[in-house]
Amino acid sequence: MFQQILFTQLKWTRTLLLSMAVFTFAVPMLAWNVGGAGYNSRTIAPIAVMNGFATLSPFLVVSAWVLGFLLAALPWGADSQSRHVYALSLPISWQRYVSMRFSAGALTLLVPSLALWLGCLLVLAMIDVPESLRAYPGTLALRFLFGTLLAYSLSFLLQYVAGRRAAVTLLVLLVAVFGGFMLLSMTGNNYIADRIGNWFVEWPGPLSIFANEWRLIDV
Amino acid sequence: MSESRVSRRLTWIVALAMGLVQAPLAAQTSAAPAHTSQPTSAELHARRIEFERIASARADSLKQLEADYQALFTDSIVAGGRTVRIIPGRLTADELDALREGLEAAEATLRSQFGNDLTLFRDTMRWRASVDKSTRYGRGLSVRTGQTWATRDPAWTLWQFSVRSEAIESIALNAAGRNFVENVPGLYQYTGGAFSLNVRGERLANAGRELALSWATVGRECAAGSPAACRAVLTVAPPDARLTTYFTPADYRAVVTSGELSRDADSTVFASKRRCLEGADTACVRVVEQLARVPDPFSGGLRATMIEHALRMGGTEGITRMRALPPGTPALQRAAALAGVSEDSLLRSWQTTLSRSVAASVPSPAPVGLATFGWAAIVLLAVTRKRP
Repeated sequence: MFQQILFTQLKWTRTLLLSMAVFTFAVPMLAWNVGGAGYNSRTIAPIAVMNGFATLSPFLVVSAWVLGFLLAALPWGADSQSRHVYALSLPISWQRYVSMRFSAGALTLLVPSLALWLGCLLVLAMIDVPESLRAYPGTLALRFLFGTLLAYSLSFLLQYVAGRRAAVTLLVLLVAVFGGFMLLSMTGNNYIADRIGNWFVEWPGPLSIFANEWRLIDV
Repeated sequence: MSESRVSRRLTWIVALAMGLVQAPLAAQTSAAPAHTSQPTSAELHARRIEFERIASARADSLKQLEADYQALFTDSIVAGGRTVRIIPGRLTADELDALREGLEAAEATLRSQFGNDLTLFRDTMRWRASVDKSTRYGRGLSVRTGQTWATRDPAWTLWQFSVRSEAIESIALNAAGRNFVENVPGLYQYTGGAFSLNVRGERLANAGRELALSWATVGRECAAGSPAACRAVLTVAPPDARLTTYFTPADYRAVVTSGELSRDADSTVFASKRRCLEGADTACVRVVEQLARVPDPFSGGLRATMIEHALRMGGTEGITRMRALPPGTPALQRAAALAGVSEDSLLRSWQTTLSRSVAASVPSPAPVGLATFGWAAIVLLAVTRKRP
C-alpha cells in the first residue's frame, strides 16, 4: 500500500523534485562563483565559498519553504480534484491513509537533500580547506532536510485541515501575523513582538531550524 | 517646565531657526536667473550679519532650553560608587531599585575581579537617568553621561535600555571597561575603543571567527595555533609596514582588492590591477607596491579580546604590575604584565580560549533536528484527527 502511495507521490511531484535536485546540487558551485571575486587561488577558495553561502543562504531557505509547500500542495490538489474518492475507497482508515501520504511526501524530501550533499562534496573535492576551517556537508544537507520537512509539515497541516480554503486561510494568517506585529510596533510594544518572534526562532521553537545561517564551511 | 514641553519647544526652535537660515538661501537660488549681476560687498556683509544674528539667537535658545532641562534633575541617587541625577517622580520605586541594584552589582563584579582600588575603572562622567517611551523597550531608561550637561557636547553618550538591573549592570560595566582603556596610555588606540568587561562567549567566538576567516595568511595561521603568527596579528604595524607584517605574496590579490591605489598611479598600474584580479600573480606584486594605503586586516575588537583575556588572568595584582610599566611600553608586553605570564604563554592561552569559544558557538543540528521532528509529529497528529 505504502509503495503505491509513494509511487503516486513521485508521479505527481517528479518535475518539482528533479528541478529542486538540480538547483540544490548547483548551489555550492554557485556559492563559490558568487563569492569568488579575487579568490581564485585554491587556498583562498574556502573563503569565497563562505562568502557565497552568506549571499545564497537566504535563497536556500526560501527554496526549502517553496519545496516543502509545493510537495504537500500538489498531491493534495490531485486528491482533491477526485474529491478524495481514491483515498476513501482504499481498505484502510483515513488516519492511516493520511499518515502514509505524509510519510511518502517526507521521504521524497531526501532527493534534493542528497543532491545538495553531493554538490557540497563535489565543491569540497575541488578546494583545500585549511586547518583553521571545517567543512560541514552533512550538517548542511541535514539542515536543508529539516527545513523542508518543517515547511512540508506546515503546508500539509494547512491543506488537510483547511481543505479548499487553504489559500484564504494562509492569507488570513499572514495578514493577522503582519497586522499584529505592526500594531505592536505602532503602540511602542516592540518588545512583545520580539518575545513572540524569539519564541518561534529559538530552540525548541518551530522555526529554530532557520535561526542560524546555513554554511558549508565554518570555523 | 515639564520635560516633554521643553523638548517640544526645542524642536520648534530648531525647525524655525533652520527655516530662517534656509529661507534667504532659497530666495537667492530662486532669484538667481533674474539676477545676472553679482551681489555687492555691502549686500554680502549684510547677509553675513543676518546669518550670524540668527545663529547666535538659535544658540542662545538652545542654551536656555538646556538650562531649563537641567533644572528638572533636582534629585540624585548614589549607588555602586556613582551618583546619578534623576527627575523626581519620573522613575517608579521599582525602577529606582533596579537602577540601584544594577549599579551595585556592577561595582561588586569589579571589586570581586580587581580588588578595591578601582581607580582605572572610574571616570568623571556625570550620569543622568530619565525614563522615556522607547519604541524598543516599551518603557526604557535613558542614561546620559558626559563631562558637561550640554546635549551637544561630543563627549556625551546616550544609552537606552530596558529598566532591568541586568541591563543597568551591563551598561555600568561597559562604562568601566571604556574608562580602563582610556586611563591606560595607548590602550584606547590599540583596541579602537572596542573594549568590554562584559565578555561573553559570542564575542570571543566572533574574534576567533575573524582570525580563521582572515584574508591575511598570518590570521589563519594564528587561528591554527601558531604563536608567531598571533604575535604578528596582535602587533599594530604602522601603515608602511603592514604589507610585510601581515601579508605574504599569496595574499596580494586580496590586498589589491581592498587597498587604495596611489593618486600618482598611471594607466599601466590600473592595467596591472586588472591583470592581477584576473589571476596574474606577478602583476599583483607590482600593484601592491603602488598602493597608497594598505588596510589593517585585523580589527581593534580582535586585539581588545587579548587585553580582556589578560585582565581576566591577572586580576588585581596584574593591574599593579601593569601600572609599574613606563608609558611607552608596547601593548603586548603590557598585556603580559597584566596577565602575569610570558608573552608566548599569553598568546597560546588567548588563542586556545578563542578556539574553544568558536567550537562552542557552532550549532549542532541535533537539537533543532529533534525539535523539527517533534513539530512534524504534532502536525501529523493534528491532521489525522480530521476527516475530509
